[in-house]
Parts: sequence; C-alpha cells; structure tokens
Amino acid sequence: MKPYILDFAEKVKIINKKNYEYDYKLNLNVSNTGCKSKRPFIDSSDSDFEIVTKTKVSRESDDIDINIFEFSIKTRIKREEDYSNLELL
Amino acid sequence: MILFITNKEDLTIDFLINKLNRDNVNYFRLNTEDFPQNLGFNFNFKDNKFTIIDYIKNIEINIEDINSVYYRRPKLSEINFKRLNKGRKKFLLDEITYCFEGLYKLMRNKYWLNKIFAIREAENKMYQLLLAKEIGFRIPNSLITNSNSAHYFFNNEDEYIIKPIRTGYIDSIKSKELIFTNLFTKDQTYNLKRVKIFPNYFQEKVNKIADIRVTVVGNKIFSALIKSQEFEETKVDWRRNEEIPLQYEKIELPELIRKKCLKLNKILNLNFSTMDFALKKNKDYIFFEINPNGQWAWIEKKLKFNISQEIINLLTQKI
Repeated sequence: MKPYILDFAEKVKIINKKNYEYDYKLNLNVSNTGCKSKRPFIDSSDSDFEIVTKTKVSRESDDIDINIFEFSIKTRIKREEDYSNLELL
Repeated sequence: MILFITNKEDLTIDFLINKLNRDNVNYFRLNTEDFPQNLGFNFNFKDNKFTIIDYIKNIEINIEDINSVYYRRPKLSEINFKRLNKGRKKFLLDEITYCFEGLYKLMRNKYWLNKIFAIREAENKMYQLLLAKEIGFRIPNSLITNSNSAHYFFNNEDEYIIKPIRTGYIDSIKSKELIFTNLFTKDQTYNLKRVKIFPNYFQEKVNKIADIRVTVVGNKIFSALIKSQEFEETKVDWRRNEEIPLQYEKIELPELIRKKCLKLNKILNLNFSTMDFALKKNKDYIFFEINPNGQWAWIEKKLKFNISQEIINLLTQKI
C-alpha cells in the first residue's frame, strides 16, 4: 500500500538538446545557432523558451535545488537547538 | 551594485540582465554552481575585507559595494566528487553551503528583493492558507490529514482535489516526476486505509471559469486571466501539459482583492510574489497559493507586462 499522492506522479519531459548556452561575457544565455553574433536566447522566438520556463513554472513554489542547498544548514540549526529531537529530523 | 544569486540556466534572470546590459547598470551575477571552481570568496576578518572573486573575468567584488540582492535559484556546486564516498561528499557540500550562508549574513543589511527567511516562511502552504483566511481571502475547504475522520470531509461531492503538501517535484537518478493538482474521486475516498498511511492534502473542487495569476512587485500588481477551462487537460491544473496553447488576458483586479494581495505580501515581509486564484462564475476570487519566488518571465513575455522593469526599479532605487 502506497500513499495516495504517489498515484499522481507523472514523468517529466526532459529536453536533452538545449539550443542555448551560457555566455560568461554577457552574463546570460545566448542562442546556440553557430552564428558569430551572440543573441540573448530570451529574445528569440524559439519554442523551447516556453517549454523551459513552463517546466520551471511547475516547480516554482518548491525549488528543489534551493531546498537541497539549505537543508544541511536547517538540520544543523535544529541539532543545536534540540538534541532530543535529532532522530526525528 | 545589484547582486543576483542564481544559476546559469535561470532564464528568468536573463530578462533583467539583458536590460541592465543595455542600460549599463552595475551588477554581478553569482551563479552558485560555479563555486569554487570559477568563483571564490575571500572573507578577511582581520582587515574586515569581504570579497567575491570571479576567476573567469578576473575581478573582485567588494561586498561593501553591493546595495541590493535578488535571491533566485542557487544550485549546488558542480565540483567533481566522483572519488569521494557519500559521507565526505556531504561534508564538502555542507562546507560550501555554509560559506554561502556566511555570505548572506555578511549582506544582512543590504536591500533584498525578498529575504531568504521571508521566502522560507511564506512557502509553507498551511501557513499561507491560515494568513489568507485571516486577511479575508476566500479559500477552498481544505484538509491535511492521515486520520480516519477524513471521511467527514468527503460528503456528497463526487470529486475533490488532492495536491502535494510541499513540493510536487520528484527527482531520482533514472527519471524526474511531477505531481500536479489532481482530481480525487469518490471511489478513492472509500479507501481510508490508504488515507491513514501518510498525510494527504485534500481540498474541495472549486468550480471555476478561469485561473488568475497575480504578480506583485512592490506596490505594483500585474494580473492575468488564464483560460484554463478551454482544455480538458488544464481544467484542474493549468500548468499541466506544456504543449497546450493556453490563452491569457490582462485583467484589472477588484480593488478589495488588490489590497488584500498587497496586505498578504506585507504580512509575509515580501517585496515580490506571485499568487494563484480561481475565478468563479459569480466573480468570486478563491485564493489557492502564494509563491514568494515564483516564475514571472513567461507571463511578461506572453502579455508584455513590464515586471522585469519594476523589479529593476526596486533593486536600483537603493543604489
């Protein structure tokens, strides 16, 4: 028997081929067209833009990267506050 | 100077950077996954000199020169840990994480679009519902439970809503999964054993004519109507099925709703948030949730909102 909520998990479509890349000089992502002139990806009408941002929309309230990033700190703070509850964390 | 704390793939921040590049405004984009290979910290407590070093551009940013901060989407370091065991990897990532925590503390007196603690506090969906109800928003009947008494909640309706309590994102090595807001049918409500084995977040199903997305930046509000009811796939959750050509429309919120949105941000100490509502046929707005670090670039692009400029205005007014 599994929790109900897991019945509703759906596989995410993963975009394997990105047609943009980060440009350290401009500090933003540029279209990966092979042209010499660098064009910000967000200025393109590329449909991937929407897919990428909408996928992130699905995650917007719960950015897992941030959560992982901060998890250890929260755990540590808890540890210092309350040793007796450590096993419950 | 404005500091952006994010990652390289954050296209939303690109909207701001693009404008700042054009206007020649001083900023620094800190892509956290580049630390410590391409980025360094030098926190010198003897001389009280605290700097961020960009090894690619060969520049050093003095934290004193930073006026405002936009905390977006930091990512874990991409350092190559292949030869280390799990415990040591975790130890090193903890060390890196704590370096960043120190950086945030060093910048505690700067202007933050949203402070981290405010983001964390505002993210709790139960707290959101509590506050939203307190300030007078209408919210759906909601129940978070793993108790047998859940059956009192399931009365005569055929359909309810089930949704994740925190995150709908499941990340595993083989695949990535999402859990959207879903229908929970009457047949499912009979299996209370399954309800009891884990906390569940149930809500009444709101009969809506559309969804509303509100983006609040300072005192400015950008509201969009999402025609979610035009497609079967997006009727319950408009974020589902990314290939559906959903239609959007700019709208003006009723004054009372507008004031409550601003009030909720104020209570939560937020300068920025996105909020989701259902719009009912009788024009009632039903509050679903607030996202203190929500996505906004897609709706700016769709409806030509000037959200990015408003964020820039907030971040630059402190320069």
